[in-house]
Amino acid sequence: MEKLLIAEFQNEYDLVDSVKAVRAAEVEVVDAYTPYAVHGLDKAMDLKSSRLTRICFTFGFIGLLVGVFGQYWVSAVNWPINIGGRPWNSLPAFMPVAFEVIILFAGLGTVFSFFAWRRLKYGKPGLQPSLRVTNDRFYLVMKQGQQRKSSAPVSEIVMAHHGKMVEN
Amino acid sequence: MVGHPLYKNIEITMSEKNFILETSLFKKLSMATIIGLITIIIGVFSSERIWPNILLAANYITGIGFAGMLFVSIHYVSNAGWGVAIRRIPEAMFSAFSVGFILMILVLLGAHHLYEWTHPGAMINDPILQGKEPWLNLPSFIMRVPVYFGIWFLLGKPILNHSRKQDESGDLEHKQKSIKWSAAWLYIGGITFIISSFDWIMSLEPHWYSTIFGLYNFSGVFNAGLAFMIILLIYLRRIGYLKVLKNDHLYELARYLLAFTTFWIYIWFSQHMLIWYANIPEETGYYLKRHAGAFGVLTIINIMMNWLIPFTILLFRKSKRTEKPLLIASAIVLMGHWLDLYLMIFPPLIGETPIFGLLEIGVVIGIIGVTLWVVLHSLSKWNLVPIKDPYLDESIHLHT
Repeated sequence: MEKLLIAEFQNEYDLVDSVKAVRAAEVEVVDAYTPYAVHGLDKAMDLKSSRLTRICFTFGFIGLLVGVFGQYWVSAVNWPINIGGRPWNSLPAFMPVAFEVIILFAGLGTVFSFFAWRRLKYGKPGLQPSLRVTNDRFYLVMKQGQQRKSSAPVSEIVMAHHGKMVEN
Repeated sequence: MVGHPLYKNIEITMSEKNFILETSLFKKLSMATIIGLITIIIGVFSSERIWPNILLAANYITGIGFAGMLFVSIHYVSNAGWGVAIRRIPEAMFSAFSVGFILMILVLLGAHHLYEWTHPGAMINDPILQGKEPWLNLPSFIMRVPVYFGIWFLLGKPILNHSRKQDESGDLEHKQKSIKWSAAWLYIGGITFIISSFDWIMSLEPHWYSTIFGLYNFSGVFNAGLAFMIILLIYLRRIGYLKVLKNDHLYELARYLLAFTTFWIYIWFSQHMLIWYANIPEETGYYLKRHAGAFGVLTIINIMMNWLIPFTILLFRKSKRTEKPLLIASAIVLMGHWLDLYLMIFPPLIGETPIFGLLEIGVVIGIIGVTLWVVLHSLSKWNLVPIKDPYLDESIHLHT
């Protein structure tokens, strides 16, 4: 495994500023670890929005079709029962169940898609670069790439933003 | 942390100008208000149809005020920071209550034209109406109107006063007191609003009842209030005020709107489905009127305007952060709320064919004029941003 550079910061503002500075110096940012969600960090790291939403929508749509046509098939095609003289295809009555099926499909489908996508399974060890990143500090994990000669080394950029480099 | 560059916003708030209602706009709004007034005066002497129009206007304008105060109270009670920079706009919407009150008094004058249960002849031969007589009688109905508005005013005014006093002193105590008043407002205001919907709208058809009706009315009202707020905010930014307003604020409001359009269809469908499914004659009459013929077409348009179109537009992140789709969605919701109230009020009163004539147009112009006039006038009296609120920093640097 390639050696990773880890920097530690005391607060979120230094972290966000440092991410910007480090990216400007063409150092690859692997990930940032924070005790809570930090506003503006996603923009600074230029993270793409998740594609999971599309999967979620697809599963929800499948849920809608299953919910409506499943009930239609059961109560109008396969085994029609006269309930109080209502039509067999009682669409308004199917809606609540279809709604629940949408949520079930979308929820479970998204979670399991994520598991499959990230190859997650029960008992898989965590992927932290170091146990340190689970502390109550702000950590920035970088990869040493092809740096321009003119720019300062990573440790200096980090120092300029009140951070310090730490070992794995 | 205070010295950090992210927290240099004092200049931003100090450069915020106070809103001034310009003469040209003032004249236009006054004209619209006068057109509405003249329409009402002509209508009172010439047409029965003016009374449901006045009732609609009263409910629409009261709803704008209610939604504004509700928005402010939710923010105090949930201790939310993001909305502080734009709080003065929903606070200004509170002033719409005064116009709603005046219109509601007008409605009381025409109660005989609107409410079947005010006729003693109808009461005598009707055991159902006799059973409801302890609540639905004219003296107590008249008395309840000032009671509702009194409660809303007395609970809402302290919240506004504390907010304005804080602009001068910066005292934290004002915020803490506002939180208590807001909790009272949410609880008592919510219950009185639901009962007032029963009184003013549901009793148009006194034989019919729906326990969810108040909530249904509320969901439409809050939609309209949010849409009104979004349009007003974008307008203020376009003419050069409220520079602290970022697209992130609009994004949060648009998410509110997206959620509440969904809430509206949820409540609409809940009421519809339970009545459809139970199929009891005294309940289905309400929907038979509204689903037949031309009113049936309007019901479908209503669903599209209040839910399907704004929901589809606002579903995308980008359209929630861009002015133009937001304006379109909000305008559709505002018009949709008018249609929603139209479908609640008009069908039992005007027969089987919906009418949209000069009376309706005149009253709509009046609604737009007088609502904007009172809200903008109230906005011009105070700082456009609550400059000494402790959460202002957080709100200005909102990031979504």
